[in-house]
Amino acid sequence: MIKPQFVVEKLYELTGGDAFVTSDVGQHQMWAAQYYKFDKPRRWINSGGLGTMGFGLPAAMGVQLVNPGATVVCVTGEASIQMCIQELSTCKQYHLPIKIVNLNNRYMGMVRQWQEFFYGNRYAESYMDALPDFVKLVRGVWPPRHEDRKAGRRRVGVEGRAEAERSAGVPGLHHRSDRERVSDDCGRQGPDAK
Amino acid sequence: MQLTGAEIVIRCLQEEAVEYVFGYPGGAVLNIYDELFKQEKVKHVLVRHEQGAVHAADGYSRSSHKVGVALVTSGPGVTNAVTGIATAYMDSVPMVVISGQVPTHAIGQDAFQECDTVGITRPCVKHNFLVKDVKDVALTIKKAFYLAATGRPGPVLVDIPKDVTQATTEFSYPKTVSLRSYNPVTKGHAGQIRKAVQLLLEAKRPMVYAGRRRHSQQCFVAADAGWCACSASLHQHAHGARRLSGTDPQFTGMLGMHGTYESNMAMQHCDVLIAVGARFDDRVIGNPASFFRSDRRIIHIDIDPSSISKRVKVDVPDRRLRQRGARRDAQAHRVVECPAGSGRAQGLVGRDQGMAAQGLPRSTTRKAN
Repeated sequence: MIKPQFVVEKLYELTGGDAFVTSDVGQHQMWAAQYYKFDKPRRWINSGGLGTMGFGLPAAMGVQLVNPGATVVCVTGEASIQMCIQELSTCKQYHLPIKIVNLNNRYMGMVRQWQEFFYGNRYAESYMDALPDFVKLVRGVWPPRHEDRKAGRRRVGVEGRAEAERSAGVPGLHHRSDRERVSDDCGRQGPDAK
Repeated sequence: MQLTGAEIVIRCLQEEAVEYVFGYPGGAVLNIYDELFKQEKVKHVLVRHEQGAVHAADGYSRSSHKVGVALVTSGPGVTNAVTGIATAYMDSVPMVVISGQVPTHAIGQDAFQECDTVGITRPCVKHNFLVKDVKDVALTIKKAFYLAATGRPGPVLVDIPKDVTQATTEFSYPKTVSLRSYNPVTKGHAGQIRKAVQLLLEAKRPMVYAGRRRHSQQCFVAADAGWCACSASLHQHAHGARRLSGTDPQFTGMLGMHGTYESNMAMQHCDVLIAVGARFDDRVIGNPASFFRSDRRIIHIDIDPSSISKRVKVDVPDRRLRQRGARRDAQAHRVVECPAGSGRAQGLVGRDQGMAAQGLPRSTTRKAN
């Protein structure tokens, strides 16, 4: 179990604060805003006003195209990413090496947070059952080539056990595994957690 | 030389030095796509859903200084794009969306893939056009780029019926464009600047609240989208001696509902708040009535006059003040001669200095203007 805040901090360290970070909307967006220290202008790209889930991945494509050599990371959640997940296919077509960090806590986290605060912990429809295996899903769109798999693998080493593995599918696509999902603020997991 | 409407659209994009167009083809835009196919200057990025096209154009624009361009077909192409357009509108992102439309004679006939594009998008664009005559295509696209990028930026939509893209006319791209009713002012107002400078000279605990519309790299702070705050010395800020950043010890972090304790406390207890390109939105200040329980003066610098005193009544409405102008004017008022580390600069609140140690005043009444 990894704290999502820790993932974002690690991301900051790994990218030297130099990455363009896009995000969707929800808890992951707030964690990205709070824990990634933006030192340069135009690096933090998110739907702040309208709050559009599904913004992160397609926005990252535009960012990558206009900044070809740059590191572009889409910090997302398991609910948001599914709203424009079809754009993975576009990433494949144009060879856009976008890194996707999926902070998967198996909940629409921000919805759940509000349900905890204001609705007596009644989690009406905020539990994401039947989630896809996101790594397999990405690999399904963009099957891994051997050399990518070799070059792309990188151990992040979070407290000695967690491994943020670069998805071998997309060159440089950094993908949080569904199987190793992150905890929420308080270290809780989905109902089926062991 | 006679060109078709579709050729003119592509020539206009070339004239505007558009590098990428994000889009999805369909019946009403096939003429434009055919012209895209015949040239190489403007590259097209095929998305899988129109929302993705507009978001991609949005990300393209936000991470550069360029205007994003999206190309979608009529009907479902447009309705799918609306979420993206509204997103860009809310965050003031410069963008031109070109949409296909059914032929002019079929408009209003419930034609296949017809929808009232200008009607549907009206509340979520800076401006939109329906081009009914091929002679207007070039000028309209010129206007669209001009409107999108000037003043408070935003998405502009150009709806082009299929028969207009087929018709021919003489092409010439206008060098400049002027709109009688649209004259965004970017020069500061001398009187207001004087007031702002006076306030800042007297300030003990100035605080900068910087948003995405700050339009200046010099006053960059971290968390974007108008959700950020930083405390900074006016001296450094006005001078532009260094850029504010997320690792600056005087940066207090994101502001508002999900923001840091330091930022929110500093926002409440500063004596002069300088809001730059931000709009005091509900996720930042919450209830305006509660926000006003603190005694502080507010200087609001924004490119858009309608954002000033919209949610929060401000003391110095520098609505026509752009950062660049402000800096120059502040220098003219000899602000730059105040050394850093003077009493004013020492009064700053910052994360490292500790909020509690500041002995912040807790006033519950607001000073009358």
